[in-house]
Amino acid sequence: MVERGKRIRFKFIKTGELKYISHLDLLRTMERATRRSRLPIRYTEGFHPRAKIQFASALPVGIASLGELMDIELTEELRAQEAMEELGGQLPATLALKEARVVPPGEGPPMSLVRGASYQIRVEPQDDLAQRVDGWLAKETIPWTRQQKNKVRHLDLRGATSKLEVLGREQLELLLFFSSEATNVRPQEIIASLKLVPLEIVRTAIWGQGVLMEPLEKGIE
Amino acid sequence: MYAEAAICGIILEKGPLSWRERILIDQKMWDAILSRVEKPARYIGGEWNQTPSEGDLAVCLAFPDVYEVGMSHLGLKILYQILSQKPGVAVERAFAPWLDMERELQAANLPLVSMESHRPLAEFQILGFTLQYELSYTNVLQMLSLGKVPLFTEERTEKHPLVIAGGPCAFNPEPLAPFLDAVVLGEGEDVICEIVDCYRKWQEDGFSRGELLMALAKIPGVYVPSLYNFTYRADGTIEAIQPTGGAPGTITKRVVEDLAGAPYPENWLVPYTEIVHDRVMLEIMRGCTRGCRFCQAGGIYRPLRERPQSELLDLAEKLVSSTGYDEISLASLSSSDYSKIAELTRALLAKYGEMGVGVSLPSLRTDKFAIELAQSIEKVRKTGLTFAPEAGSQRLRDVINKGVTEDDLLTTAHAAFSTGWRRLKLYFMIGLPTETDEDVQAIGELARKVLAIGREHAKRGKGGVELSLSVSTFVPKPQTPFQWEPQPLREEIRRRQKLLRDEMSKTRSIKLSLHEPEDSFLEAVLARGDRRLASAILAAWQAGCHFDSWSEQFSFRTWLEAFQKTGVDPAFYANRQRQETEILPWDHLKSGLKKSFLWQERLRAYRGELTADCRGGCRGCGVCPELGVANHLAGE
Repeated sequence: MVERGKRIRFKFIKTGELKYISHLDLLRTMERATRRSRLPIRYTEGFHPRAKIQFASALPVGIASLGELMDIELTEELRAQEAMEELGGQLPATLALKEARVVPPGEGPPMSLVRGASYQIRVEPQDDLAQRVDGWLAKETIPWTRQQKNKVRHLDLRGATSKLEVLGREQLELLLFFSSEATNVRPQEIIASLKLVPLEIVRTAIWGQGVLMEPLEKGIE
Repeated sequence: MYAEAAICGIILEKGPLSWRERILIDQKMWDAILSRVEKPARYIGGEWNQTPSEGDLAVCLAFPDVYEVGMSHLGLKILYQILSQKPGVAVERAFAPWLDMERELQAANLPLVSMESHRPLAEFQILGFTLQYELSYTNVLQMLSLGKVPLFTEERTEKHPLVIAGGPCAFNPEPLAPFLDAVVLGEGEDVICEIVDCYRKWQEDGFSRGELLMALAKIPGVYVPSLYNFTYRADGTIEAIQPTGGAPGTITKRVVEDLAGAPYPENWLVPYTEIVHDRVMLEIMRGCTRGCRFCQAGGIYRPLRERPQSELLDLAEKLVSSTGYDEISLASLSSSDYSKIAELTRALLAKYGEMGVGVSLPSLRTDKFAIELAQSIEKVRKTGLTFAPEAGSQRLRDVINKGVTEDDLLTTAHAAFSTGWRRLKLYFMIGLPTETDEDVQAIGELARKVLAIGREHAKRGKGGVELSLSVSTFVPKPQTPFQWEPQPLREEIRRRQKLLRDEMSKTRSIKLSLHEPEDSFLEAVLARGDRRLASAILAAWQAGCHFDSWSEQFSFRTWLEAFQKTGVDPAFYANRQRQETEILPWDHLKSGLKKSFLWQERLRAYRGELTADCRGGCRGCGVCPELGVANHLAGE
């Protein structure tokens, strides 16, 4: 493991009412936290310098997370632990940093390394939850259209689902494939196609082949 | 949709629970609601630097608009900080919930609650509204109603919150008189604490509500509308304003004598979601010495008080390091008038430029001096520039005492374009006193001259220039030299707007935006209204009017129906020429500006005579002697 480095990857949570802030809000919040900290942050060039911060994956509004990932670039080498202490002191408990590692030179941006994400989902209790899910999983494809402002996206929910497990009458575990080329399926869409009412969705991990990511081979069927 | 919502509903109806107990039960329902509304981040609070204040006297600072607007307001931040440091006081905030959240609260039978502890508004001891613009009046009623607070002062008992208000509209709060227990005139820094102390003493003594209002009326700067009787003449004008029960005949505004050392919100709340003014605001001065005759703020915030430069640099350091914001806005009514503005800007840029922290000047005057400033700021960031000549012709600019010449504007435009700006926005008004068709057309001519300068520079550089005109309708305001003037009829405003649109059709590359005359008409009615308007405001609100300042929510027809239903003639307030001797609804509320001075200024306006900036010598407005204060410049 690299001891010191200019690029640090942080694993952080997004919980409590902060699950209601958008991805853009999160970016602004992190930018401000870095500026409050005394970290030697690298800024972009130009008229409007911005802190060099990159996230692995955008989290939809309303979904909490126990394992978000973010890279921050520095102008000088630091130990990951040092950076974590400095930045962590500028974040609310609901955005607490959990781990930090130096990213080895040559590793791509975190977004490009992500292959999937897993979720714990609590829904309104259903007696036939297991049957519903079995029937859903038995299908080859499950076409889905997402209506966005000016465009319609066609997705295959089944193809994007690596794992969907029922834990009791109201709990599900979901692992979704992500790809940097195509539009990623959202957990709410899986729940909606199962005609279930979500009560709480928590992202538990990000899967991929980079530092601090859950290794692919462990989760993919 | 959510099972919890139904269950919580049942529990809530069972019986009275304290607000603390209710929070625990409501948490799941609240969560379900947040997941359904459009912008949940408006309602979560918990901003960086928020520290809970504890105390048995709970004060709620309420802003009658959405979170993004209310959180951009400096006054709220200042009072919040002062109260949070006052022992025994718990200060919290409340904003108007947007329509989707209103529906959720009503469907679940939940009251409007504060941001901090989710305490229902009805359970605060003091509820303070800021009145920043007239079109927010119906939102005050909406928030009281959602908060389960009785609307009328006479309906409230010892168990209900004391409802007070302040802000620029407090200089004529008459249209809201029956809804407000007390109104604060002027700056709230000192008087808010006096009100809290008065309340506490009253509580300890166990006196009646009437006695509380009497005690409040004795605090300088505090106006208790229910202690004043208005009588009217047959023609509808006011015959007399009579204080009762020993209330003072006139109420004079409060001011902070000197901004040096005046409290400033160092625990600046940093919202998670984007707000309107999402930056550090550094109030460099208060008041204005220019004396533009249409401008209410320029008069009521007198005298001029500049905060010392060294103090501003200290504050900037504290605020930048505690917020992490990337922009410092030098806030005031006319920032380029600050004595040491060039030095201050230079010092801030030198210190924070490399960190990516920019400096912005929200209110630049249109004059040569702005050039230097514009150039120094441009090194970090190049956004658009906005100037406000207000009127198109020199004649009309003299009438309003703008003190800006065409040469000033063109020189400024030249400097802006030559240093690389590509976007310029100009503000004008239509409907000013004495305005002729030639004055309206002159707006177009002036804009074309500015565009020509821009194009000349664009030819040398790369890319085009963007020029936009924002043209609003003049609203005569209380406590200004134009407080007696009629606003032209809506049809006439429309005709002048068409005239300008035709004029501008020759130059389609200039973007022209015109404000709806109906909004400005209602603003004119409410701005100079008396307490007979309250029934119309109530009727409009009952018919569904609120968020009137949001154009998509504004229903002029509903307002007209409300006026008709309550027998109020809105034109009496908006379009009528008042006489010099007429008793105005705010005559007992003193900003320090003498009525005789304002009348003299009105006469000078009609003669096209300028009144010079009072930095160069006293012009006799009355503020300094009336209030026992003086202009404070940073250089002195």
